[in-house]
Amino acid sequence: VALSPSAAKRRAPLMGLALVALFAGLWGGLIRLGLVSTTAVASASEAHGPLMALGFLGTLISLERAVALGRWWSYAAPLATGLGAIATLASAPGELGPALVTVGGFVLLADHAVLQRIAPSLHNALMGLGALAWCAAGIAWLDGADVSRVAPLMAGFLVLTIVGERLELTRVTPRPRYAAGLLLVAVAVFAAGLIVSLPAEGVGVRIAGAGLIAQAAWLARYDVARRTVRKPGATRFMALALLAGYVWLLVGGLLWAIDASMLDGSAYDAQLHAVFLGFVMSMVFAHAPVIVPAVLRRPLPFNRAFYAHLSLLHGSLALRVIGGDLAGSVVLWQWGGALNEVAIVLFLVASGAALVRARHGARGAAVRPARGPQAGHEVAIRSAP
Amino acid sequence: MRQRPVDPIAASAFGLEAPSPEHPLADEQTQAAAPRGPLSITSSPLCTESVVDLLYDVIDPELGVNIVDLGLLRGVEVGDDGAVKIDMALTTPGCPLGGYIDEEIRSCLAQLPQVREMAVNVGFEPPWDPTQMTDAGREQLGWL
Repeated sequence: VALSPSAAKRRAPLMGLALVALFAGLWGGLIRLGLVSTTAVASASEAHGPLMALGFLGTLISLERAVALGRWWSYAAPLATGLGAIATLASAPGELGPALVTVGGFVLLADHAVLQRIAPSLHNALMGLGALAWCAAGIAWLDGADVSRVAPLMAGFLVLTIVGERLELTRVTPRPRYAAGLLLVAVAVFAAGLIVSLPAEGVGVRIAGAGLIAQAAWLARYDVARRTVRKPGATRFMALALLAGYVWLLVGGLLWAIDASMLDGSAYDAQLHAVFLGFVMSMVFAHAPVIVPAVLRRPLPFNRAFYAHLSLLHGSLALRVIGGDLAGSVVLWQWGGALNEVAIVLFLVASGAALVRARHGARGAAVRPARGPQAGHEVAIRSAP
Repeated sequence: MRQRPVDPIAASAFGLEAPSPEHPLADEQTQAAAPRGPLSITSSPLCTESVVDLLYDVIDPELGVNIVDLGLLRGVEVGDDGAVKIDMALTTPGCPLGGYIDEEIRSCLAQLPQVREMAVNVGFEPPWDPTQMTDAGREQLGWL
């Protein structure tokens, strides 16, 4: 079994660019939390949000889409975005960083235009709308807008991308005819809020918050995770990560709707991290065992140890938002933030270890053991012993 | 190795017939007498049924349902020279799972040493829809 075709080897550097952006974003996060005394690479702190949401996740998502689409030019999206993150970090002149990141957004938009031509669908249209939000965020950032003004649009990119993906999967379960219509209403409210937030931030964010609440409610009601959480192994892990993410999306929506001050401060910290860490990062944790093999063509077997980084992410976020942001304890905010970063690093370590273990396992065992029908699930995900 | 009977619905989807009572795969006594473990496969000639049977082990990890019951398997061709060609669908062209499932199929079929060559083709025509799932798949996902 050839596990590393040349195409996969070409993708690995793009994954590497995403990781550079992630580590830069994490470093910026430590500076913002006041946990490091040096301000070396201060650009990582200033651009913490774009580095994480676009530099890391934008590169990852556009790479995933390029792999699915299989067009050579699609790879320009992760390449431009990853290089844009590095240019931002290096404070390259002429706004080169934001410009490259914006180019990445437009290439992703083109991906979705092609996908829509191949097979028109509502879920793809929603993901395309997410790419459009990325483009708008990039243009606003390029135009010199403060990151706090760009943040709702970056959230728009990620939320709409994920909601589109989830909508696609709900097709495998029975749902009433009006369900898609309900989601469209929720998305319309969210999108309207994002648009309004450009000229009138306060009002726009409140409206977008209502849209987030509605989308979270829709996901909690109709997502297939409600059913698959009863399955064993990786399927349950993914479902639990998804369901926990929906709780945070609801919390984030409430925070956006109640306190719309998208400005520096504790409310801002809670509003953004409930969505970006609680919802989005939980999705990343959930799907790594699927996305990493798709991109790198190497198996990433599910391991029960993955629950460690998942529970640490949600536990530390609760500490940060409830103990830190809402109760006002700086120490708990710092502890929560630091442990958020530990959870992400733990996720990388656990995933890397699983990749290495699977590689050695594949060399040692040419034939996989036989399984009965009920144990088939463990066969496919090649669970670690 | 215990073989699963080919699902009649899945079998008809591939233009196959479910194993007849005379078929070695349908003979429980023959299976009971055969040595257990992957080696038992090597003793039987490569046939479409043995390939499809192994594909029941390729699971969509998100749904916990195999690709046969999800209706993603469109066809299996087995040549005399050990060449296996598998046609499958994905639920949507933007689905990133193609590479993952491709690897899973290759890994599963590596259990059949008679397989000399393998090609996995992913297509989107006709588009997938829930009616293509087998009853077993629909039951697992709450349709029945």
